[in-house]
Amino acid sequence: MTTVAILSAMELRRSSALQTYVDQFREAGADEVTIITLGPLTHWREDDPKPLVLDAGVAARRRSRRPWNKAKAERLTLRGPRWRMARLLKSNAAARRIIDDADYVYVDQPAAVLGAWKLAQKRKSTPFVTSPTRVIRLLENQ
Amino acid sequence: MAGIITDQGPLHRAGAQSPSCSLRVQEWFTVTKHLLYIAWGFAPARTGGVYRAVATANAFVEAGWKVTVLAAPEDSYERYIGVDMSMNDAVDPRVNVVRVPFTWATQETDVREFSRARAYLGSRSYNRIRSRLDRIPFPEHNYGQWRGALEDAVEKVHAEDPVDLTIATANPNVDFQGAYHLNRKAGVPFVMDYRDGWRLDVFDGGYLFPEKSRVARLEKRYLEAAQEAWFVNDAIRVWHQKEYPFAADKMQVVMNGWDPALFGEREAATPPADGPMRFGYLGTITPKVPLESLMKGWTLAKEQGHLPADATLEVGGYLGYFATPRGDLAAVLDAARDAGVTFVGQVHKGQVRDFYARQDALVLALGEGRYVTSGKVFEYAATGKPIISVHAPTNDSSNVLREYPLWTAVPEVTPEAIATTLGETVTQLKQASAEDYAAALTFGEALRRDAQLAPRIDALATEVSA
Repeated sequence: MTTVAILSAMELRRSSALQTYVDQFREAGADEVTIITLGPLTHWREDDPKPLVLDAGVAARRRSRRPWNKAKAERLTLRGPRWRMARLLKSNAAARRIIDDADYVYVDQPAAVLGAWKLAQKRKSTPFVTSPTRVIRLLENQ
Repeated sequence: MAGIITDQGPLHRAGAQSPSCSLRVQEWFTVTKHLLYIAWGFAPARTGGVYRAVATANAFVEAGWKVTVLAAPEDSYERYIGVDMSMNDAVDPRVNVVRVPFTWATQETDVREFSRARAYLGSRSYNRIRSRLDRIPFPEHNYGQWRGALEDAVEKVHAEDPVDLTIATANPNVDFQGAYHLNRKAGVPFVMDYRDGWRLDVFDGGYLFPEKSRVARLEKRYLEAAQEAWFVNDAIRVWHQKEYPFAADKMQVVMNGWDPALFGEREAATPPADGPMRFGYLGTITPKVPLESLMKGWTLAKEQGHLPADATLEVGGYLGYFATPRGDLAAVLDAARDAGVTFVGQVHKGQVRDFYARQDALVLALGEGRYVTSGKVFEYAATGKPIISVHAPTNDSSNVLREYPLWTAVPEVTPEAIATTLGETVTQLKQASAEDYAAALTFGEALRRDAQLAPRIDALATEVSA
């Protein structure tokens, strides 16, 4: 059984781009597609896999006033999404299990790269790929 | 010239050992000429320029030349820019493709291969530093590092089988360096095939590099040595003629066109049947494409009743230039999903015909600029279906479509103007007759790519033989 894990740094958005990739991976031969997202996403379809959300409380926090300079400060410091994602991945056992079970990992969005890179250092045999086309080719060639 | 006149290479290659002088002369004329075609992006890369590259190589083979293509490895396309494996079928089997090693650290897609610096610095900072380093051997972002490997490969090909003519297609412009290198080393004439400008910003008409820059000095040197320079439209040629008057006579327009293999047997389209009206956009979606305006215009057209409520817009193509899709462009498409916009991702060459077949009208969204002619405009015209242009009226694609019978164009790229023009397209869809569709199909016939290439191939064959 071939499993593809999608590791996405998206949060608080609709999920249609990921849905396209889920369909394409399945079509290319993935038996199972699992998803990890940084924050909650909307508009999931019934047959989409249930995502593991690393930071489920982000929506509540964002309801508070967030001036642009605060958001920018976050991006430029260790509180930005790259670092937050890396920290959450490190501490989330369920997420690590999903990655361990995956044959291929699709890394969606540059903000997910740092976390993925740290995981990849310990899992040299599993391809962590940032291009969906390349995942499809790997699936087709297996 | 080198292969024929100076070192009599082809004669040697043909195994000319005949004692008869007349037979030697006969062989001299019938010998196969050897074209070296340099294109970093060749099949199965999924970039736009690949269609032109494959068509040019095929056309020369068809004209009796022996063709060797120097291109980047397939693996590089897969890793960095994406592939369309069906493009391999489009290459004539007589074309010899030699792959020249290329690595592109900033576009590596396997996270395991990322350096610690890239992981920790983040892509943006890492790319900035790395890009500066890569420009040391050749002044071009990302591709400059190919220079050394390319020059070695060019020399090797020429040593094994002497080359009579080199054509280098850009961008990337490092391809020109390969052709220039062989010209310096062995006197082989070369053609510079510009699909874009190097110093010219085709979008705003300004300079990308100043007159005294390293790029300007290189381009001048190349144009002085080149046999010909090809441009995709007259506006770009005129700009270069003014900039480099000493080479004005060498400059030719070789327009893009549509590839007959893509469409097979063409038939006139028919007016739309009952059911939702289907609009389609196919092409690489870059930040230059007015995607946001188009999506807003589409949504507005629905709200204002210019478009039927059930009309759909199917968007196909890559999000951005590289293998990793751009999230910001995906978000723009997502936002218009409720208005009937669907994104289908990459459409392989083998699926292009079906994509066009299921649309009632085509949306040609392009970046601004009177120097821009998209290759897609020719494909769109080949379908014989109504086309709505969503680009500045000054864009050179307007010149291609001006006489097209089923064409509507926005007066300006604003959501309001797009919404109104979409309404005009709907009226046109309802009123167009079978004769209009037949006229559109006939119009497209003149835009075949082979019609553009044939005169240049004939001229070059004569020049090289002379």
